[in-house]
Amino acid sequence: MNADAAFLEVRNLAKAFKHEPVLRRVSLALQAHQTLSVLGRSGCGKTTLLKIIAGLVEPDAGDLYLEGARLNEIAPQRRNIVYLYQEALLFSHLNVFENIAFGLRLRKVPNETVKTKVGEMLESLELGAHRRKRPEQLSGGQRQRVAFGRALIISPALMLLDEPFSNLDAEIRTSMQQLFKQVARRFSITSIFVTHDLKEALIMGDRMAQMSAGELRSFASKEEFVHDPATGVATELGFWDALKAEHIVL
Amino acid sequence: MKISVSRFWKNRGTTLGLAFFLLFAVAPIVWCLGYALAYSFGLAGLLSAGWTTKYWTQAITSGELPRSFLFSAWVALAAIFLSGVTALGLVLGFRRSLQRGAISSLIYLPMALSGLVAAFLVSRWLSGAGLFSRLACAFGFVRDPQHFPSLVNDSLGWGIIAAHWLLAAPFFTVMMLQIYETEKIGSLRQLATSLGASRWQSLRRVAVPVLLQRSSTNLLLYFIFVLGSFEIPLVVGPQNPLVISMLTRRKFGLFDLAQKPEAFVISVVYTALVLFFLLFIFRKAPAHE
Amino acid sequence: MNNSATRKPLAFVLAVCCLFPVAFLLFQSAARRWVYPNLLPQEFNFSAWRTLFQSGHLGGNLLLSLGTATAVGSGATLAGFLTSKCISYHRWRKPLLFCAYIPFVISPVIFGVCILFLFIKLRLADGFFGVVLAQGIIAYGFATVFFGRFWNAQLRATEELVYTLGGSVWDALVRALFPMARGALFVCFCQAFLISWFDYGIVLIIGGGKVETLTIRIFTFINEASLPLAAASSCLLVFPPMLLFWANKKFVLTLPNERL
Repeated sequence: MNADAAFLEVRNLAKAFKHEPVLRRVSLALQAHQTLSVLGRSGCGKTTLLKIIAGLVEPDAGDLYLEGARLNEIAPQRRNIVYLYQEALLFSHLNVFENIAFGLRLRKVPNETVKTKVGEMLESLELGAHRRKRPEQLSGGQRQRVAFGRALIISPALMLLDEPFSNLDAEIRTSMQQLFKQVARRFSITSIFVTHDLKEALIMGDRMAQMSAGELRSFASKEEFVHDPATGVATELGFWDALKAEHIVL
Repeated sequence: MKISVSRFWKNRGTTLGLAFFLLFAVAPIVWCLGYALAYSFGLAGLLSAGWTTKYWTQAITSGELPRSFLFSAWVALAAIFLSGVTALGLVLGFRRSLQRGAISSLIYLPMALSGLVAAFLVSRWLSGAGLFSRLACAFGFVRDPQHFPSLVNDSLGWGIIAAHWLLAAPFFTVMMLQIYETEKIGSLRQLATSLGASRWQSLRRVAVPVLLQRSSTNLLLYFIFVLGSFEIPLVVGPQNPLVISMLTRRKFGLFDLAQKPEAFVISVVYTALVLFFLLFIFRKAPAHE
Repeated sequence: MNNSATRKPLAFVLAVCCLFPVAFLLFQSAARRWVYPNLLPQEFNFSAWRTLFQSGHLGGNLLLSLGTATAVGSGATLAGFLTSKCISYHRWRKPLLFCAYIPFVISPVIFGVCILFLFIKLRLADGFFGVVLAQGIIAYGFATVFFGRFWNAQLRATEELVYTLGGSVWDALVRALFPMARGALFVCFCQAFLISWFDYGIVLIIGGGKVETLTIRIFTFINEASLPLAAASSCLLVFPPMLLFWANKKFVLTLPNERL
């Protein structure tokens, strides 16, 4: 693995909780402006991996590099890596505008700039009509869009998305996936997208990886991912093919 | 690996928080128990003359201490039982009435009474010359205050029980109304009915057990409160037997310094009892996630 | 029993029962020459109220009660909020929470008796600060228990989110946690305030007769059998919490048993 070429590099990361290993020598490399989809069942260590990269959990061993700089000793506040949870976690005391402006307020950005930047963000996320609404007045999809806006507005170096659409119903989930793809292209986002949904992993990722029992396996290409029996894509395709054949017979 | 800045701050904050907690919540109680133990065994205080168990023997053999604990336990049990039954009856019988209109707000008013005020009210209602005695006289049941069975400062502690009932019954009622909603007891009873239960069976086998089970911790905590109450027995309680906190206060405040260590004997026994009840509550609670 | 024919009269009876204590206090405060066995007093006047407000003492008692309760309420709420966060996320959560329950449930009088010697040595007895500290210990236990059920995985995630957005520990506290906990902080403050506002035992023992709060004054009136004065000052004691409860019902239920 070439550390100079990779935007994010994770080397031999290990973590155990109460002597129970959660991550075993996990390594990965991610190029700038790409999205890495990490597929894995719940409890396989996906969230721990993201939290370690974000600086919210300390690893037992291993090294992290972002743009060649070592991350391990840097506080989460100064990593410029945003971690997005399954839930939107909007601040209930702030309206949509102020939720998105939160990171800018922390950085004491002048009010006029905040207005302009948040206005633009609201428009690009199709939230302009909801700027004064409270979080509880929004739908699940709208809430998740506000959460994206709140993260994107501070131009993070890396976004970590921990199953952000898992609480949404199928239709909104599809539209959110499309929206994220557009936004990721527009803002040139580098991100790690964690999911347990095979289809979502394939839609969202430029690069693919699979996590199982604390071990991460990266795939050279989507084709390799699709053809590997361990990922379950072949089984899924087999199911649909069989159904199709059955339908034709019927 | 070096400790990261975030971890350092997190640890420092937690350490400071726990240190503060130990200093202002744990240390005073440890002091109280330690000092009371030392005093009760003759190791502290003005008359301390070294290790002795005579104050314990004195307190137990005089009968005052066991009588006081039994009396306090009776009062607490009776108050909690009567308040609990009242609340249960109101919630099961008149739930809809309690949730509609002005009464849904008015039910909160008695809870704003302090122990001292509740005791004052009970003394004005239940004493020989109190309101109820006057009513009884007006209806010809009694002729003068001496004929009215005074329920204030009586040896069975009915005045104390009544004052605690005045405070606890509305509280339990509101609490059980909330439990009825949060535990979806209405739906559970409907389900029981669809399974063949009669109205009475759905009450006895579903509503009552769920309400009691979910309110048992609060009932027990309230029992501990009543066990150690002071203001109410001070106003409407009897002089003999005395409730625990009054006996402690009297032994502590007497001019006869030889009786002071007995106040600490009572304090130790009382604290042990409270710890026992708390342990029971915590054992009952589900394990930490 | 829930049909409308019985519901209305019953609701009326219950409403009367709920109003009766405070109505009786008002009635008693104005009753004069109420001899046995008369059901009503021979005279009504508000001289007890006039005496209370003209004597000059009551203002002092009220201010002292207010000052003590405000100090206890705000100190205990702030300290309880912050330390309960440490406790709730700690691996020894349950034993630590158990320790928080003890000062909260123990009899204030027995606590006062046992701690008095220490307070005398620390020169805290017989004074305002001693009373505030002793009541504060009890209220702090309550506040810690109260907030024990407040902290959860979602709040923790929110706090972490603030960090990843670039916020410091202070930012997380001031810009996210405090505003999000506004309601709970207010409820806790009100309850901690009332622990002090209603307290008699601690003031009696730690205050040693030198700290004369409203409850001490009420007991003096009861002891002197100055019934109208006792009733009038009782009204002053119970009106503020009554207004509070009336305004917001959720202030009442605070015996915490969730997530022990």
